[in-house]
Amino acid sequence: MQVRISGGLYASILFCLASVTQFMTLTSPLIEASGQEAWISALLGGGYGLALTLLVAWICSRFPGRDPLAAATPWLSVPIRLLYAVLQLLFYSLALRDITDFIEVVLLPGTPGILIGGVLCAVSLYAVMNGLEPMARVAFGATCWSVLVLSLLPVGLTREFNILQIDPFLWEGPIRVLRGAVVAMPGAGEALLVLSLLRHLSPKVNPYKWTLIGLGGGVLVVAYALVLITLVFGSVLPGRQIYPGFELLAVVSITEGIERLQAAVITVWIFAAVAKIAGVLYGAVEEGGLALGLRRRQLFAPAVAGLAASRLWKGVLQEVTYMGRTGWVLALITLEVAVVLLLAVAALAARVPRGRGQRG
Amino acid sequence: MGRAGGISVRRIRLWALLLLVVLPISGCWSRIELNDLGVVLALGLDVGEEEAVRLTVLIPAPSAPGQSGGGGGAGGGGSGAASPVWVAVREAPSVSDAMQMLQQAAPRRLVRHHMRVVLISEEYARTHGVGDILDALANDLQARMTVRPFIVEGRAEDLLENQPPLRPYQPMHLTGILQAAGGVEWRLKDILVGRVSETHSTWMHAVKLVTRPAGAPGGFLLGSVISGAALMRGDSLVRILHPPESQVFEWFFGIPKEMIMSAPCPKGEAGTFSGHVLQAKMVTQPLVEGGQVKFRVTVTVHMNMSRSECNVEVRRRSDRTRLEEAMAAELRGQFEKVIAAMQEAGVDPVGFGKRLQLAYPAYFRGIRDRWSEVWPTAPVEVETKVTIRQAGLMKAPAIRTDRELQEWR
Repeated sequence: MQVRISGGLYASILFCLASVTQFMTLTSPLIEASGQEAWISALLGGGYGLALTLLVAWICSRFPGRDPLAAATPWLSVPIRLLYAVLQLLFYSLALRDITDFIEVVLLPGTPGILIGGVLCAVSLYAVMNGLEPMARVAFGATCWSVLVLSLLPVGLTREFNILQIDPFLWEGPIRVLRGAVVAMPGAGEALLVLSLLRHLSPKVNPYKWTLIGLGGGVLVVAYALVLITLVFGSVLPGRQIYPGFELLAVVSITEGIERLQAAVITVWIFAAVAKIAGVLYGAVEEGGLALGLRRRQLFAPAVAGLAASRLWKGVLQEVTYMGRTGWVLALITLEVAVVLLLAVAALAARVPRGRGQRG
Repeated sequence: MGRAGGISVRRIRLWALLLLVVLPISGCWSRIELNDLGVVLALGLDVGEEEAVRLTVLIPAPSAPGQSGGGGGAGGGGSGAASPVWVAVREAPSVSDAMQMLQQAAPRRLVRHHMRVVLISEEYARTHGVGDILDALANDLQARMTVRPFIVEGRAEDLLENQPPLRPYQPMHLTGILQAAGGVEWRLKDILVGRVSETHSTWMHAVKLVTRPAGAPGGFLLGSVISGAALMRGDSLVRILHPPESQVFEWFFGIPKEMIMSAPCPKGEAGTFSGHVLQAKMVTQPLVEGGQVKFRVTVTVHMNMSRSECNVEVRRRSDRTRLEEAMAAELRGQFEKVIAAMQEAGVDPVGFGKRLQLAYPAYFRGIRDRWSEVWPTAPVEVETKVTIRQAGLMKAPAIRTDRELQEWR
């Protein structure tokens, strides 16, 4: 039976995709690249992700079951599905590595990263094996909690804001903002997962509206967090910290009796991060399985997860992070754009013969 | 098919997976029992006698069964009373090495999650600079951004060995003074932000041990006080401002309420009068005229009179105006001294440069590389206005005035 999710659950997955790990790990490279105007870079990058996603939603909505690849010829759909699966696998491995490092460094120092990554991998695998709905519900809970926390956060940070820590608008120039936007783009492109999600979205739900709410909300939250970070830590220091988002929560201290609130917040966000990595793994497994014609994914899913988790082993890849490296950034953007362009071509090819046939 | 003794294979796999997940997240991997922790509340940094760094740590000593908690104080327990703290010292070439040596000598795992203060001796800050310790703190996963660094006039080790009154531990004593006095809470985060800023320089509170003549027998003969504000150029200490300049200096970061200010009586009369600040406002305005930058600092203060030796009738408008003008002149003089001291030292911890950058970004862009040269010679004009709202319960001194004495005779 086809699993259907509501618009709210769909938007929650997109929100977690676009916000949580970005808040944890992307804030530093963004501020390093753009300085104080990192929030504009986040919005520009988010705009790119939103454009790609809405385009995919538009293409999908023109086909029955919102599945253009099912209507396309195999010689087009199989390579696209494989390319898409590789992209999601890449996202999965990168996110798995980043979240593992985050937990290993700030939450569980002393616990081997391979163990933490293994747990994350196992949990995400379990979520994938159980379908889309459980992870969507986890994402929904984490989204509600995130919105609540971020709404209240400025209250705890009031004493930390200082106007003398900010720079004049565009002090470092627009070029740096654009450079930062390029850094933000690959992460925003993770929302291409909608290609796998849309076919599970209830047919009564308007996909554009909920894509805008979920993805747009996530992008706004990241931009908002960047504003808070620069108001509290200035425009230079956060770029030199590894996890300024975590520091933003850790610095909250109200009368020295109410402090260390970050533990409660971050723990829930770890769930959101798990929902995210489970989502991208789901995308990789589903599309990869469809491309290879596999009906049972009990063995395929662990193989895919294992392939991605191999990145957890210490070594050369340990140093690889897409956030700061131009090659990775460009490779990911190219892959994302390629998937959408090929999808458009496949959709066009799928519709043209049908149109001719109908006319004939 | 697919069932083993009534339980599906899928269910067995699920349970196996869950067990696999549950086992490693039980939290026991890197656990340390509470009894094995040594909670470092303070670090002290001095110039060593044999090595570059002499590091002191203060750790609360856990009380033995039957003993009262750590708050008893050194002087309260008689000759057999154990000290509530363990102060350990090691010398090493660097802060990290010294920390490592201390760990090797400690029977508990030293953790810095609850560290409150870092004390850096004046000598260390002048000779070695504070860069090494700030870098170490910024990199330390355990140290929090809310740690308060201080410059010690004297030796940090002596301060940490001193047992304070009213608070069980010196770090709590120092942070308590700042909070009780309504002083500026200047923490590691603020210092690091200033350190990487292109317009600011950093500063820290200064502390020192002072002799308390009225100390109780057996303890508290020495006490620690916030003694001023230590100004840094780069990572090196260049000057320490002492009261009243340091008190006025803190006005740039927030006006301490209830601060007492004193000024000489007006018209050259002997004696002084004092008032406590109720409310104050400071505006620092940069101005660029003819390609030259100057600043105007405007200070508006509302205060209540606390005491007066001056032969004036406070209820009389003209007399009160003279008091207000005298206090304003005193305040202006103190501000001018503080600003002159900062310019002389070539430091800008209060953000004159940042205000200029925000108000005149295009102009500042032209001098951003020369700001440290421009600032020391930039004219700063100080305007002060004081309003005395109340005079307490006396309208004049509770002694006979000169005029009254003459008439009485």
